[in-house]
Amino acid sequence: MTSSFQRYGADSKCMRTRIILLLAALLIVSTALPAAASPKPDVDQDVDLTNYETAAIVAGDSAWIALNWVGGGGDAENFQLVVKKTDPGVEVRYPDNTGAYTSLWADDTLSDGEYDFTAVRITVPYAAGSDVKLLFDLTYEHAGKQKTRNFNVRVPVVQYEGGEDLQQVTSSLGEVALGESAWVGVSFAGLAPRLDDFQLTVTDADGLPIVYPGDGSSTSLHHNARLEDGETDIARFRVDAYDLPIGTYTITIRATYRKDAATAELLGSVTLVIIEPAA
Amino acid sequence: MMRRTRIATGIIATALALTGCGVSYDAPLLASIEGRWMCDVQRYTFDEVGDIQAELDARLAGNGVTSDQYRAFKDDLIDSPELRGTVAVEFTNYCDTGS
Repeated sequence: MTSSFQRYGADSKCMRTRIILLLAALLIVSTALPAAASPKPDVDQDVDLTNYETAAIVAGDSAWIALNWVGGGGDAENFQLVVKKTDPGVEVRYPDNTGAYTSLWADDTLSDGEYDFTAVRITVPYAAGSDVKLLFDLTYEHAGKQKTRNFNVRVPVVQYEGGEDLQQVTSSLGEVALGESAWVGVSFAGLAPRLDDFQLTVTDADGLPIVYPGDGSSTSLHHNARLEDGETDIARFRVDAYDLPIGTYTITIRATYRKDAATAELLGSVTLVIIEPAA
Repeated sequence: MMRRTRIATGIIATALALTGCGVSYDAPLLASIEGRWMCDVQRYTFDEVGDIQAELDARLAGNGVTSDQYRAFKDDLIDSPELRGTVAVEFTNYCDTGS
């Protein structure tokens, strides 16, 4: 099976080392030539966060979460993230090896197109509502210049009431313009060690036309039908917002799953707002 | 003469180690593991910071990948836009919820 794969082997690496040395020599020569006009890098695009919403944390609990970054437009060096502001009662801790800040998992540089994450330990107060918000300061060096950027992050909070297997994270599906079809998603957080065969059905669509993936009779979680302790995943379905009154709709849902040999269900609801289409 | 040979051999061995010439790996497999890992790590919470590395190690072991191979792959990511592009495609295909 692997024989058909391209391999990065000893030979290709050694050849590549030679090529890199050659390119380095060419670079030295080229820097001696007059500079051609080159596009100015977009200062706001050199680093981006891929998850402004993190995995869910149980109220009163502490957990390490990952904030995932992608580079764009050159190396972001000396990558340091610190929390600047939190909701009341929220505590933040960083890995011991960095101490006063957190940096990338692999090293402290994010290259163009590279993905890497920063780990942060969050303690959520028992009194937290459906989420806590954190404002982070990110500093790094890009093209020789020090940069500081702010990122607002939402940490969903679920309430542990004992004996629960999972909890619905999403309460609002947001807005859909009249005349449009939109895939919407309901996130769930796992509390039990492992739940299998997760399926979600809409039991009362409040008059909204609902379509499941593959025109099936239910939907499952995006990544797979298993939900584990500490995992957050999303179940999606489509809403066809045609010929409907403008307003807020309440959609009743039922999640079914298997816990070991026993099947169980979780009932819930989400709201969706149908709005006037943009002019 | 023998001493010179030993020194030369040592220099070559060091150079091979530094350039990672001794480690080969399955690039598409590693890119797939990396893209999925970067997506999954943001969907989970972890009790201890060490649990993050433990989860990654388990994934590597489950795919028959050694830590040396993964380290070599990560080193190569720094130099290879193509490899980073492959990881990005894996990440997007696996992680894009379409919402």
